Amino acid sequence: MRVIQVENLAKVFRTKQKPEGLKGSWQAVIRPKYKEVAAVSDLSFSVETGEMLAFIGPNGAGKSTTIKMLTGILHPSAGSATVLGMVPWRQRYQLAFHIGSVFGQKSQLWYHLPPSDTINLLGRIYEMDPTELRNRRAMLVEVFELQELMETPVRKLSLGQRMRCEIAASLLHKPSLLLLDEPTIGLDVVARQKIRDLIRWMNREEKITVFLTSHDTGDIESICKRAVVINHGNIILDDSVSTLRRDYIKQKIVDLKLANRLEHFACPGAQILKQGDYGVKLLVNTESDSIGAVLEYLVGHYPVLDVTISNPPLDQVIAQIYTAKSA
Amino acid sequence: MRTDLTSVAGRSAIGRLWPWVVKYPEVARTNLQNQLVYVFDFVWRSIFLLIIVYIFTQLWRTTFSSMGMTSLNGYTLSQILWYFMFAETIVLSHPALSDTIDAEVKQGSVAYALTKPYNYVVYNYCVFTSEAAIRWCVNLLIGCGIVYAVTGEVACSPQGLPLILISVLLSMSLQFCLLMAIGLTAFWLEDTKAVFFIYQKLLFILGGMLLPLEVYPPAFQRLASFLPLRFVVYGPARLFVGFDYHTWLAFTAAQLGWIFVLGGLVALLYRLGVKKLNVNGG
Amino acid sequence: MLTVAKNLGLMTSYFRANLGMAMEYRVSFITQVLGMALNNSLWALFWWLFFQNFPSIGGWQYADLLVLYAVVTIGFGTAMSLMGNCNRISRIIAEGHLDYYLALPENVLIHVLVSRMDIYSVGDIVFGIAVYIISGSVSWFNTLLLLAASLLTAAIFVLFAVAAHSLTFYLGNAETLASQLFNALITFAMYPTSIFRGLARVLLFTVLPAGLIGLVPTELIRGHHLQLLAFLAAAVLAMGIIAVSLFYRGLRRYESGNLISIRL
Repeated sequence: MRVIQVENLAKVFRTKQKPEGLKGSWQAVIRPKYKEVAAVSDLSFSVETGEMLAFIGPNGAGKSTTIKMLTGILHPSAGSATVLGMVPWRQRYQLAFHIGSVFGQKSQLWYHLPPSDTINLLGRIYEMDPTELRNRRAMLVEVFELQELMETPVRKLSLGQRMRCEIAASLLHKPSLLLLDEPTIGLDVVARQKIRDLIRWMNREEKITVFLTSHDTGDIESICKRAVVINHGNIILDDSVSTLRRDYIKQKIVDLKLANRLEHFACPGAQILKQGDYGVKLLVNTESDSIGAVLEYLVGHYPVLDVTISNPPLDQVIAQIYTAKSA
Repeated sequence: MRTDLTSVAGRSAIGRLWPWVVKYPEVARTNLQNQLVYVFDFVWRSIFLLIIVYIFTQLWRTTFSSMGMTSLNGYTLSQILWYFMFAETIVLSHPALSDTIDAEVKQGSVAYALTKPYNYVVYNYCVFTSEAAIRWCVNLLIGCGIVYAVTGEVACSPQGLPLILISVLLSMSLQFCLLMAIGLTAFWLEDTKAVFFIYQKLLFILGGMLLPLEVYPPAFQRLASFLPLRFVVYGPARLFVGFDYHTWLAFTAAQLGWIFVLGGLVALLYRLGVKKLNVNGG
Repeated sequence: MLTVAKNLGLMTSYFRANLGMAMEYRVSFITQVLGMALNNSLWALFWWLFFQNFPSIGGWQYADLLVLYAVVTIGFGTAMSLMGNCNRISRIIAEGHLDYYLALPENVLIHVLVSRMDIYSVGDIVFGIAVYIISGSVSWFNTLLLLAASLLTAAIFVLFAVAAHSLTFYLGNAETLASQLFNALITFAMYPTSIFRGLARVLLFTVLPAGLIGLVPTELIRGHHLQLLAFLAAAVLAMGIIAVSLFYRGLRRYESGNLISIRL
């Protein structure tokens, strides 16, 4: 069954324009002027059961707007969508029983209480059978490694620990669809990896469909098999992640810190982006040159203190996709 | 994988109501636990109660003795003191709901609550009343202690106590409706704090917190009679110091009536607010 | 003389800066002033309603209460609009901002106090003057006494806050305790002091000097007992010595690094 089916979905926001000053406020009341912003235009896609989909795009691209429409919070201006066979904005309450959501900044855990209390409360809210709740809770605690955290007040948990609890809580009622809006934002590398592993595990074991929005390419590459790239409210790419990687993430950025002052720097296979006294930023085209070879050269020829290898920022990748598509 | 997607829609009426009996009380219970974390906070608020009740006992005592009075508009000194204490305990038990709702509307937390299968207003009602209940109990204990210590008398009628508890519960529900309505205007107003501020002052005077309504000049009494505020404070406090069944019945009917009207207002504001959310986002 | 001039100059500069800031946020300023006016009016109304039923309480009439009110509000308004930081000393210490003041060539206590001025408290002053006019006790002499009493009251507010918050140097973050004490001071000061007897009365003239704020100035204006003015001035002086020494003693402890527990 199609978990999500979206057709020609669009959302236009009308915001009131308020000119400066007292006279402006008066005008805004009598003869209001509106500005129309198309956050989402003509979106169409579908998601099958068990898929792990990344919904990516820069800030303001329309990701949050789309998720809000899929959960029924926002009513679209045009188009249609069904989630698990229900129309979100008409059957919001019923749909709520079958979806789990984690919005990165917002927490559903009661701040001053340990997570276990929120879990019990959620069990009631989702009308779960007590035995079912007990078993489910035990399973999630084991899988997410929450044994020591369950009885600690949430305010005392680190962000990474809190996110693990949040995601576990969002899975309590065995939803068919898990919506994650920027779940790894603000997390350190270790915590991020942990969360990604857990999401993958849940998808494998329970066939939960995962719909993830992020602007971290690492999230996408680790968790998702399919990526939908959105920009200015339109889908500009809908393909597998491996295709995305192959076709568009063809560069790596190497940040180098050196022990000695730099006199003269050169490195075959790498393009210098920025050069300072003790550091260099390089761009390596992974299609033509191997990162391994470049690193070997650098370590062999320069007193390397620290190396950071990162993907080009997503905005850049998107821009590349956009230009490639328009061409 | 769940295949029972139709189970929610296909339930019988009782099947749909039963979770309400279970779900929302659990919300209340969880909030109670949340409150107990704030013991220190309680202590400070209790000290304020102590101070204000003490001051007013001194004020009234001095007044009565310097005027050589034994009663004022039907209240003996003892009754006035117990009245005041009871009124204060009620007002001091109210959590700052309108501020919380204002913040949640402005930060978009209301939108988030829409993704869960519960009603935002009912949820907040449980949170509000559970917190108010425990704060009120603590306040009452302290308040009774100090008034008894100062007056040596008990001016309340024990036979009406269970019914008075109902009055207090209804008064809290009424206050909930009023504060919720103020908080929900955050969907349209920049500053609900100002509205709440004005409301609170009105409650102090026209709700009968500072002085029992019988003590006011007739014009004020007439004004107070049109407002629901008198049933938030004056009603229960008056019954506390002078219970009679018929008055209780009349007050309770009025409370229920106002709750019905204001509850309707809250429901309307909520629907309009959610509609606005549906169109404009959080 | 030089230090006095210097401190006055400091105050003026801060006043101008705070005034500018208040004018920037005009709406907020107006809202706060109106809010305070409403709050104050409420109390005046309460007492009016109260006195509808009795002509006097323990010798006090409505007019006397209005004078009391005028003194308290003018004094409080003056204190907050000139030395608005007096209630934030605990927080300043706890958050380590004191180091900023210590590094500057100004008198630490004065600098801390005047660096924040709640300009909207001017609303309180205006209200107090209005209430004084309504009370019907206006005369040249009374006005002079009112001025003197209000200034001394302002001093009492500030000094009490300084003493209370200086406890942070000795007890760890005493912000809640100090602000509760301060609120208690204001609360007790707003009621005719004659209603309190025995131990309470003693406390209200010593530890929690609400009596000095309430009773003394009002009696002064009512009965023209000028010795009360001298008494008040002496009391303020005594408070000043206690508060300032508490602060500076504590400051020495702070500087000597004995207070690592406070720095969060």
